[in-house]
Amino acid sequence: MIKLVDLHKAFGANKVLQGLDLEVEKGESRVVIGGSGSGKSVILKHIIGLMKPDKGDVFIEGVNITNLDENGLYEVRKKFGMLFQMAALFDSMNIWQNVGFALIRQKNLKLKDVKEIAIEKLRMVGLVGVEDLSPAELSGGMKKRVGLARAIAHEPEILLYDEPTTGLDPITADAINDLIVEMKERLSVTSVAITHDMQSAYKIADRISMLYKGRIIETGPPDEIKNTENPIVKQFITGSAAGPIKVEGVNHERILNRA
Amino acid sequence: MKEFSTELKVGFFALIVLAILTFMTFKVGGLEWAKAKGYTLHAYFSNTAGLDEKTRVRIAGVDAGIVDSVRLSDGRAKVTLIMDPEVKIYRNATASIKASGLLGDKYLAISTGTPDAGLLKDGDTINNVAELVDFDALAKNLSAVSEKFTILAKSVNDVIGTDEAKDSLRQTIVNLREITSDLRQTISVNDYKLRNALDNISDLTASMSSLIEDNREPITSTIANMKEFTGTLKTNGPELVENLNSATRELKAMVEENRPVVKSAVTSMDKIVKQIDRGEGSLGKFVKDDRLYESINQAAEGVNRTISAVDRFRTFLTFQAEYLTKPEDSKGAFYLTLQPRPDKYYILGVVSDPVGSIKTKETLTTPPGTLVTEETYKDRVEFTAQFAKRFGNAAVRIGLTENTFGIGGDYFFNDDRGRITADAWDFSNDERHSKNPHVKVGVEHFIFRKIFLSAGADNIFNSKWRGGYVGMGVRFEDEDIKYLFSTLPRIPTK
Amino acid sequence: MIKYVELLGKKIIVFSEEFGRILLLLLSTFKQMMLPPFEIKNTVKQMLEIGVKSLPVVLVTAIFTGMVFALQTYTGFKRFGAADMVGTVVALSMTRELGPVLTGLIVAGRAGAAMAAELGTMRVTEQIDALETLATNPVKYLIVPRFISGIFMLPAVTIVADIIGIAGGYVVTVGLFKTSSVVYWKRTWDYLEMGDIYNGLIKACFFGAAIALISSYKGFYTSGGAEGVGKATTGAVVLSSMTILISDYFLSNWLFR
Repeated sequence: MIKLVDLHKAFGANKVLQGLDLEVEKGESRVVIGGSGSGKSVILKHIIGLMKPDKGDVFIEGVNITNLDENGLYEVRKKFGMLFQMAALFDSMNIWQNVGFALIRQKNLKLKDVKEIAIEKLRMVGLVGVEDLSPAELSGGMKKRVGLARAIAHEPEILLYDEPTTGLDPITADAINDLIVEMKERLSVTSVAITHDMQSAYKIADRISMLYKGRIIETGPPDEIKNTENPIVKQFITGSAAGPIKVEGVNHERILNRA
Repeated sequence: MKEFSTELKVGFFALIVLAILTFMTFKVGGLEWAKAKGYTLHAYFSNTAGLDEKTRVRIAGVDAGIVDSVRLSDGRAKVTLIMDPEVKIYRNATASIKASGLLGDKYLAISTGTPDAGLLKDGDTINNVAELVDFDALAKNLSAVSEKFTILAKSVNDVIGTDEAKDSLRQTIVNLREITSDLRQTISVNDYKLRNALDNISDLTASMSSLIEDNREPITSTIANMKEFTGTLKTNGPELVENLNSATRELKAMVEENRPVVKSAVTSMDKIVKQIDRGEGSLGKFVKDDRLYESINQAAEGVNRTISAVDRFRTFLTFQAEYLTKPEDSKGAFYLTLQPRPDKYYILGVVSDPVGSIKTKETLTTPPGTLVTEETYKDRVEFTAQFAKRFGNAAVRIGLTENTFGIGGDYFFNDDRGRITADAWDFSNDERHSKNPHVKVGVEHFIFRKIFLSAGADNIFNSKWRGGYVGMGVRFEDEDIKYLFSTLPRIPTK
Repeated sequence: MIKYVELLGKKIIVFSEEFGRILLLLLSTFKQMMLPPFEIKNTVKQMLEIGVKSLPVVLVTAIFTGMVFALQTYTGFKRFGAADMVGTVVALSMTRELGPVLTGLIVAGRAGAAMAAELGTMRVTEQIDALETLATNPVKYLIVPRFISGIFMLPAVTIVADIIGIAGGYVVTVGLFKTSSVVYWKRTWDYLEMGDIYNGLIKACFFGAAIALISSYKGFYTSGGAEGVGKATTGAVVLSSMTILISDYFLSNWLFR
């Protein structure tokens, strides 16, 4: 379904991806974990074609999208729905127009029908009676839900989640996790999520991949990852500052001594 | 109260803008419409001192028309005026350029003349022109003249300076004195007759002076000859004085001998001059007969009209290329515009159209039995022949557009440098995607004197071929083709 | 010393890069402008933002400019007996120069800043990425409507500014200095030519295109969060204004020569 082969990407001198390989099966829910600034978002942007790799290929259902022209790319993107970190709702529109955006533009539907579909999708993510509000009137968790409703409105085959629980309180975060699981079950979509929230990762993933220094260093089901022997992964999932992953500006000697 | 919608606000604004634009066009362009109603007069000036087009023509300080154009014609300025129709101007009218105020705001002043000279009609020329005094040229002439005088004085001095010359001169003066005294005697006898003759000569001079007025150029060349003569005089000076001397001597002898003959000569001269004045003899007729002047004048006018008809006839050649975004191909065209009058022209053109002919093929595939429609198109050369009529800044065109009946319209702006154009043709269209006519809308603007850029939308009502276009072209006036047309036999219009 | 040369080189590279990207954006805008579907609704909305909403401030500026212009020229011209010509001077300077340039500067400050801020915010909150993921070309959806509105609305606002400026001149010359109103209008309309108005409007078209393109560019390529949006906004106003003033000279040289 999704296959990334030997992907390289650098921003100036900062090499973010250095020969990354990743394969996601159809219907699978994959979570990529990794530290802040390790290039998780960059992977998503490559999958959906917002960025072009310096080297390497991206295959979506066997089609290499790195060679596609603009129009071809837009065709492929119709298969995708993406939930952004800050929801990225359009400020200039109200909620139902946000949700129905792709429908208004891609399909020749009447506005009334679009609104009905939008209300239905909003109900699916647990929101009722918000369709005529503007995005500024919603809380962070509600915005994420609207973002999710917008991502599923045109019935995509692949859903991408960019840090779905970041910036939410634990209860709201868990509600979003439930929603993602529900989406997977109800819509049987393939999904790729990136996060550094391990609670969320364990809950929504079929398999988890760990990104470190521009490569995937380990992939496995949640249980396997929990009991991993790899010190890097172990440090990350236990959330310890002491270990092979160095954090800039922290005195590692002192941490080690304290440990 | 309901909030106004975005569209309504923008629409209102657009209406206000249109209203202002129309108002300003009327106010500013008002003069140009008024001109169509007046009649045209011409006047030739050797110096217009920067008289501009659109400046006013005033009679007794009252606005009576405008200057339509100032053009060069054989080194002189041909000023074309458009006079208000109710203003009458006569043949002996005078045109002059005046300035009002310190800032040099120029205008053309006309004194109407008197009714007995006859009325000036549309297309006539005002012959009496009071030229502006060009101080610069005057000063230059004066300095040239004074230079010549210096040379002359010097040669005279050279001639007179020698002793021999002094002797000859003295002798000459003595001789002259004698002649003078002889003449005085003769004259005193014939005093009355001579005075009469002189009076007649003075009349003749007055007639001649008006003749000279119309013959400035020959006189100029005469002056040139005189200059040359002065040069000769300088080289041949001494010899000439010697000749003069001997001639005087001979004259003296002759006068002595022929006193009665001189007397009768004066008498007969008197008679001739009187005859001329009465209009007898051919010279007399020439000077006195108005009909001759009239007929010369008419002949000149006739020639003038023929020339201006050819002058007005203008032809333009246009080559242009457009890139159409829809077939992603380019379209080339060549147009010949024949313009017998500024408000009427014919356009003949050849166009290579990338989607000239569209063929639709329908095939029934056998196993599933579905209808497959296939469309192919081919480029084709097409012809345009239109008649166009212009009203102010707008023009309508009708005729053959790319092989089918078509109509079009243009709006010119920015002194004809820009043009908004719309065309519709192919009304019996039966393309698959549209039954509508082919409609093309665009704008052109000259970026250089002969090169223009164009852009717009093509085939707007056809869902498949609808697209934009950008292009450029060259348009220039051709002088040769128009003379080719003017030599063709004329079809009488009346 | 070496440091300054290096700094100069860096500036030149940044400038060339920016100029190149603006050109590429312009090309892409032109391309998207030609292709259907046409974003009519967005365009109308931008016309409201750029044109109608800029109207009040442009009108106030124009009327006072016309008034102060009449005041100054009247005082000066009276000294050599040409007070009649005030109408002409006001009309010519409004249509040829002050109308388009003042309108351009005000729209750059008002609508240009708003444009850069809006697009900048959309960029940093990933709304532009979201558009792409919803299979919508952001250049077509966001920039083309602004570009078209700029091209059409700036001349439209300018013509209103022209007439209001001329009216401002009238108020001062006739109302304050008690000269003949007939002379003012006569001098205005007699000496004004359609070319003065049209060329002023062509200038305004260019300014409108420049403001829309530059402000969109600045907003579209914003990076660095809220601070970046601020920088983009400032940059858009500064660069648009500079472009208007500099290109005004070249356009005048080309159009009015």
